[in-house]
Amino acid sequence: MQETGATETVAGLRKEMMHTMEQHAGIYRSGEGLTAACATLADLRSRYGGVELHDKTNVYNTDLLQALELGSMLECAEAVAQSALARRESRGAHQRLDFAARDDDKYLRHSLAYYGAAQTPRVDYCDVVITRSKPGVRDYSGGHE
Amino acid sequence: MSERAIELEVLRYNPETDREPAFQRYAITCREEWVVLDALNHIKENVDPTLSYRWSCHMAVCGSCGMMINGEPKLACKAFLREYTGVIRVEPLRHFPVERDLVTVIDDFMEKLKRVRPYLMPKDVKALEAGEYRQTPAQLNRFKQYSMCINCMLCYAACPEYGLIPKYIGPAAIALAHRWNQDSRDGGRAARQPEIAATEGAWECSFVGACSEVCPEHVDPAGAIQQVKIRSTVDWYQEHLMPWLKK
Repeated sequence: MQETGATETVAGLRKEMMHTMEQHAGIYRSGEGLTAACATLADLRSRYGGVELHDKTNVYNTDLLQALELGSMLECAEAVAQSALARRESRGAHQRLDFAARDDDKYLRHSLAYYGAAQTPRVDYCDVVITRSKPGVRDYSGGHE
Repeated sequence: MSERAIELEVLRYNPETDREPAFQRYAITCREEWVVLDALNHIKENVDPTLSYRWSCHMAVCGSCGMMINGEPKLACKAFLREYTGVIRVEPLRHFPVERDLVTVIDDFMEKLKRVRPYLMPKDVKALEAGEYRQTPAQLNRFKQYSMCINCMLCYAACPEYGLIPKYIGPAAIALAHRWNQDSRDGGRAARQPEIAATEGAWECSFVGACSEVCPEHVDPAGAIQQVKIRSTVDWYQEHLMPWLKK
């Protein structure tokens, strides 16, 4: 974070992050949109270093609090977008318009995004432990047998 | 969506640089559907990032954004700007020390809340495998209203008794103690009585009723306090007229 003379603001970066996530990482997603979101988020994360704190007090400094929150939110947002981009299937609230079917062979797994400091998070997977509810097609249209 | 110009007069205080709190005016353009919290967020984002206040949910659930708005204790997220004319005066919650700007020191309330043990002290302790503690809708109705408290402390800011006698345990703490006392699963009343039936408990209340008027969740703490008074009166008579009946 910058002492003085910075060009970035917490509110400005946060607004861009929110807009990007609303637009590309909601329920309906696409490879194209998520690629754009990942690029924007990487850019926002590098610009985050240029945020200036205007509140220099030591008492209940919400300017600092919000700046720290934004840093964490950007990391989470990037983990979400990168994992969604790597998951080339549709499942639950992750609906890929370019991969409409569920693919249990490849993706009946938890996505794990590994923190990589300034680098893009690495996405890996771990097995799902299935207990009582077996995976199946969730079809509420009435047409499914 | 219609927009209009408004002015807010916000009490500012920075303990590191200010000797005493002072008002600062902000002139902004607001939208018709905004609440005071939206206006504060707009100021923090676009005008003055040093303005400090607590908030979280923006939907009257978390109880963080209690403040005085034109002299009345309100949740900033529930106070619509369209209901005010002229300059809107925003101050920290009355009766609490100011930490910074609109942020108050809430230790007194937190300590009192802890003292009344606002949690289930089971009458009959069951093993986990024995299942849930079941309750009928009628049993639930005996306390449901009092369980709606969100600990926003508006009732403390409204209560003239709390302003005069800071030791008074106060509306929300009594209402919450009463909530658990009324619970069919609970057996902790005897443990809570020393706190809420004391002089600085329910008996400090002179039934002004301001707590119930400002409560954003319609808990009616004043009603709870009067019920506690009745219960402790019955306790007193039992203890003195029928001492062989152990509480």
